[in-house]
Amino acid sequence: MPPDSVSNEKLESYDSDGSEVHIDSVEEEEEEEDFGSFEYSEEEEFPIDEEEGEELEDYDDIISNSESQFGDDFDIEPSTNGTTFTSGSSPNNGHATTDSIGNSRRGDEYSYGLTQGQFREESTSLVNSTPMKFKTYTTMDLIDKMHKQCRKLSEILVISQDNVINLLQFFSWNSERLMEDYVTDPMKVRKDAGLLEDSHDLTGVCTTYPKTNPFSCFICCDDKLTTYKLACNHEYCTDCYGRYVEDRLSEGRVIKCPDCDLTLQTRDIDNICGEGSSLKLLESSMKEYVERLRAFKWCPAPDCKGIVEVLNMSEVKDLVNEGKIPFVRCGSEGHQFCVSCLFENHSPAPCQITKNWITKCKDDSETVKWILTNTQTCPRCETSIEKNGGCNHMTCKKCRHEFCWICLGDWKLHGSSYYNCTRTGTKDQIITNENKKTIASTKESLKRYLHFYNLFSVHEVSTKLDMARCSVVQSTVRDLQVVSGISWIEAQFIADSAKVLLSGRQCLKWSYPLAFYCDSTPLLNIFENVQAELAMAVESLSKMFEIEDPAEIVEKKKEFIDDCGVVLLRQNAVLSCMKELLESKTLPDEAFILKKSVR
Amino acid sequence: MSRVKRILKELEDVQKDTSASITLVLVSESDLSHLTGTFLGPPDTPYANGRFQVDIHIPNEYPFKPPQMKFDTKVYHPNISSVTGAICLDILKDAWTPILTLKSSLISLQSLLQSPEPSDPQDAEVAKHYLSDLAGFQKTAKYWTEIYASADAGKKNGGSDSSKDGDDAKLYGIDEATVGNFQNMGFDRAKIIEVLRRLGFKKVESGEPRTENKVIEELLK
Repeated sequence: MPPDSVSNEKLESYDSDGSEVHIDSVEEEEEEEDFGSFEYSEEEEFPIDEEEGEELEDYDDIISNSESQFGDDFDIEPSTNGTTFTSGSSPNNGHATTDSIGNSRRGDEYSYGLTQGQFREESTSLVNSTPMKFKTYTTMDLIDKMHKQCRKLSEILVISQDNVINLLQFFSWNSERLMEDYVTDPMKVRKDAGLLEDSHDLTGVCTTYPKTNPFSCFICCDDKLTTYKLACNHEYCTDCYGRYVEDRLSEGRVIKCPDCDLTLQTRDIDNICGEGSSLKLLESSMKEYVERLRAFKWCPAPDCKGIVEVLNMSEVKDLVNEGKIPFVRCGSEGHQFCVSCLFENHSPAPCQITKNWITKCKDDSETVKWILTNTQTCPRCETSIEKNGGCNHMTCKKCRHEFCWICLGDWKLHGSSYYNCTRTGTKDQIITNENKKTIASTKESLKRYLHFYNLFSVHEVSTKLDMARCSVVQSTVRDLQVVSGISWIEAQFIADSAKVLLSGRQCLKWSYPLAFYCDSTPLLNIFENVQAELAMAVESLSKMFEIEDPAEIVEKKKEFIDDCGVVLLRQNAVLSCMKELLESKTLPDEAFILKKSVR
Repeated sequence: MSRVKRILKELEDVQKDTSASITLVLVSESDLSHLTGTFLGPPDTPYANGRFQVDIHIPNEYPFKPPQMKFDTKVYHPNISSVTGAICLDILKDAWTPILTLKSSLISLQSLLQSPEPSDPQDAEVAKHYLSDLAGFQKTAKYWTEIYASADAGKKNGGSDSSKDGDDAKLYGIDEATVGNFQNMGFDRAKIIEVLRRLGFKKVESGEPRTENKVIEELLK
């Protein structure tokens, strides 16, 4: 099948899915030419499970075809459990998109690509974030992988799989060292790891004592009826033994008899702590396993157990040096994160800036938080003032300025409304004015940092709120679908808008550290203006999500889509402006960034 | 309840043992979680003839979690903080297993005094002293044992330090001749010791003008 028809078919199928494709026309034109007929297949998110067989054939066609078209822009990676192919950087804009298809049982296949459903937000953020080639795993996938490694080693070393697990845990999953040491001196390795000298492994014995002659346990000093012991004959009651083992399950290392170096086998652990307990130990030892493999990264999102294997680890350093963000997306919940910083995708800020910013925030944030929550600055002389009680009528000790603690406005204008401040919005005014001032003294620099930190953290908090709000809105709309019979396709715009909102928010958030590290130039002014526009667009879209009534949301579909369009446009503007900023050397070099401190 | 039973049994066991190299008593009769243990310094070491007192707190999870121990008696040893008495010993941390007892822990402390592990120090300054000048270290450790851990040390702990000239230098393992040299230059003794401690010098040979100058520079500040 010629690639053209494949892609057209895909496009149609998407259109019939009803995803809103027109919004992404923002940047479409300039790319269309370069991609030619290949464009759609690159944007395609490959359906994995349903149409695997057919798809594979089709894509093979595409690969061979595209190879001839683009030469070395594409490389095919042989893979044992599926076909992985990567469609490399497109010639004009230098960003790479990676797709892979496969049918592996473990190593959950992912397909990273630009989907119509995701609009073009990926593409816009690609200005400096570069998707890596990667594979995602769940903890179960990795356990399978670990078992497979054990099976292999067990065949090579001719020892039982249980023993191999113990040995690997003992060697912190360094299988090369295990092999080497075991081949040199198997007895010594077995002894060190606490395994019995002969290969046949004995399981421990569970004994039940009669009530008339109970067992006196050394650990709890109580009389007990059931005990457990290994071949070493060190016997303890099952309660104490269980507690002892349980305490160690999360440590991921071999568990030894409390009194000697004999190691508990998988079966011993299951016997003592119940079926499946040994799996817990295996899971916890996975931490070491993953850390041993440099290309494997845990998803940094809180509570996320996703693991990603980066296939082109060697390129990370270069990308970071080029100011690009090597990012991947974890399998379980699709969190995007930067492989170099192990932090969420921080586009548009480059890695170096992110690292500096995060360290800075860590160093200063406690102080800053205290200052932010406990003090206000005098509106006239800008001294930090802590209010330690009393009314809101403040008089600055330094400049004798009288002002209102709540709105920071001149007290004289307050008249008689002593305790109820009615004047709102003044504070915001002050912040925007501060924006324009140039930074000179250290005090100014602290204020400048506070200002950016404040903006950054405000958007961080907003991101969380937005996420919560988005999911609420999506579920209400889903309910509405059931009741009023609006089709899934028609309601899809909500999910899409949510994605745009979150990516816009993220872009906005990370643009502040960037601006913080930039020298003050006219270009920065432009950047800040563009930034402010994006902020407005994001806020406006965020506001749309506050609508409670699902029917109204559906009615306002067009407004949602328009707002999304604006956000995307402005996000683009921020990103291209950022690119100029980076290129114009407004950004101080690395050393300078490190030196620039608040105090 | 197994914890109570176990602690009582351990107390009984130690008290039955009449060899008296180890003692274990409750600090207050009503509180089973706070004990005081003592043991004799191992012979043929700078700690010989000393009796060392250890403060023991027993966590609720005992015997599954290790007891918290620290020296009440000041000890000059690489693995024991010379200031707080904190102990760096694996069995009191992750190598603890429930079959270890308070008695066996105290015996382990005894053997820790016998065989220090300067490569994994608790007190970096002492460890440095141990590695660079073993004889000097032993002299200081012996001196500490004499003034802090000898039979009548209990009441001596506080004020006796400065009663005798030379005590303070000896206490920090600083070479008396070195202090004398600087004193001859007209510097104040207490200041010399303070500076030498701060710079981490135990001894300054007259053949090392560089170090000497550095000390003088500090002294003149």
